[in-house]
Amino acid sequence: MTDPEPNQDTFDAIFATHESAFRAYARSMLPTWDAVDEVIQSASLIMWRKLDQVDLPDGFLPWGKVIIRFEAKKYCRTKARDAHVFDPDLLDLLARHQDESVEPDLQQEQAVLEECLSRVADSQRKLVLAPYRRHGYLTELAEKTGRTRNSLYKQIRRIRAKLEQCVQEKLNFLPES
Amino acid sequence: MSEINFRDLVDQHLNGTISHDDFDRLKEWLRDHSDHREEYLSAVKMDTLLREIAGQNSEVESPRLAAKPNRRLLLLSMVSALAVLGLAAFLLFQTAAPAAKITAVSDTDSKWEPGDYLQASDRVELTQGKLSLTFSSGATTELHAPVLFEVSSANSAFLHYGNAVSRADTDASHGFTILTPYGQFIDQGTEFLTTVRRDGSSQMHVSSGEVDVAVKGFGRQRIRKGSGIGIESGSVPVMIRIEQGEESSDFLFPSITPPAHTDDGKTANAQLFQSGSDWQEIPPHRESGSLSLLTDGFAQSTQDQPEESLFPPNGADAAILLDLQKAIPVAMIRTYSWHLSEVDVGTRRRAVQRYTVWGSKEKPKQLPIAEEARGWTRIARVDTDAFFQVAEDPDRPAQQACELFSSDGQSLGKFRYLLFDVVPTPMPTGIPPQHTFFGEIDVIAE
Repeated sequence: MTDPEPNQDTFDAIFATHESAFRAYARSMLPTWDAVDEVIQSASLIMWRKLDQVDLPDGFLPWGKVIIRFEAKKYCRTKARDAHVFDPDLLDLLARHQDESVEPDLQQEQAVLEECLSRVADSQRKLVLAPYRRHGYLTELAEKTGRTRNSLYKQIRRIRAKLEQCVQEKLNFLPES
Repeated sequence: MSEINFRDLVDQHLNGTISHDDFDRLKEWLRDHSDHREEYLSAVKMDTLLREIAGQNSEVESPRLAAKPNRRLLLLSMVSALAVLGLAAFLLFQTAAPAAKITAVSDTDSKWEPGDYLQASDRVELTQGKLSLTFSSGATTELHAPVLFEVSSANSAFLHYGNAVSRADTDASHGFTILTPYGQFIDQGTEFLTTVRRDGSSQMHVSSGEVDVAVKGFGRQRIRKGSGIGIESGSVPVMIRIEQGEESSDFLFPSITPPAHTDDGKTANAQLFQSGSDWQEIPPHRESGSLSLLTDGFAQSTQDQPEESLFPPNGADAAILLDLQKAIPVAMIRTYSWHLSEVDVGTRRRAVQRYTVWGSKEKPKQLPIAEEARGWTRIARVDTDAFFQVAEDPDRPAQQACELFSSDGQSLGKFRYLLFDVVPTPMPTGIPPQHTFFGEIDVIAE
């Protein structure tokens, strides 16, 4: 009797290779990280079930993006009453823009960003990572430091700008892969 | 507007603090400028990388979920989550017994913050943004401004006005109830949207599963996935049932019967008038069928049959009058529509039913307007798009039926004249609004 299910190890390995790219792609279309998690979860299940339909390894990333785009649209349709959801035309436009651009090497960029992060003050590093902590953490931080959330967001933005510049400068000096 | 401001909007969007107006502006810029899209995508990339790093950092509690569909891990995590939830519920009931907890807020003016607990009778009022809460039972509700919502217990709440999307799929949340001024919606393991107008009228649409609707004097009725029901405010609330058809000439619906040949409206005389006028008669659209087809017992035979449909001229403010020849106690009114254009299969704009139906025993001097009844009795307001939660044109069912009846099982009133003030559907820019393809209107006497 043959096993109808695709090989889990094969899937895990190839999905992990592209996970950051998938997340960035989904994030560009969706309003929150919770939404990204939801869409990635459902899209990855579809990818896993239909893995035999794609040419591995090269076909996996573009194929996976199509599935994510489809699931993101579905999500946006169900949340259409939320004013902060992009409409299908804009989703297509953002997807096309990314499809036509050179695929960034996110692993390399993450390594560079980590290096840049290590050079900023500890308090700044904690602050710029604070929005990704649990819900309400930034509000607690604002109360603890006697500042408003808005002023914290402004400071986070300045740190991010500094990091973006640092990453860009370092990438410019790296040899092209 | 400068580049700095565009980036501000991007950051506000990514951190969830953007206002509605600014979000519209952000979308416009993203649509219109390639370089803005580039900048936005670059910010998204940075956001993604920082979150990845945050997830790897032991000092940071990342909210990230497991992405891989490893079923064993999923099962384990579900069991663990249930255990944690059970323990949390136990602890909650052992202490001050909070009924619900705020889990997320977005762009609101509310005093509530994520992590806050709500007791029974605590109210959430929003004039902007949205807020999510989880009841102790495990039911979740997302509130969309403007809204006034009051927690009643660990498994129920009162929606005074506004929109609430609820999901109750845990064992403990079976029977989760949203109370409204004129009725209750009782979950039977599902997701449903409840909307309450400021005057107390409400409507509910079932996205998945089933919901029971209970109205005083009417009893309890089960509403299934894809269906909706409305409760129009009044001394005796009017129930509005809306359903999607199978898109065949048999006009089959889940519970609404097909167009009838023997209804009490078959001898009615139909006329078309200018809305709100002193009985100024207008002709139907030049491609429309005649007014008599509305009461002949047949709806359309195919999906795009103008000559078998009745529709007013494009852009006209029109009202369809049914003169029943004598005043009768009207128990039920049903309206049917079907349209799926072969030229533009995607839209189905002319299937939506959007009207206010008025009744009168005598012939009033004028037709009513929204703010002034002018001697008419308002029976109900219908908007099938709101029921079907239409977000974009193709979401709309092509064949629709609407059934109005009194919640007390008696008549809607004794009427000779029924007036359907119909609203056309907006079309893309440059095209005047176009009217619904109505196929039949049935009237059933008590």
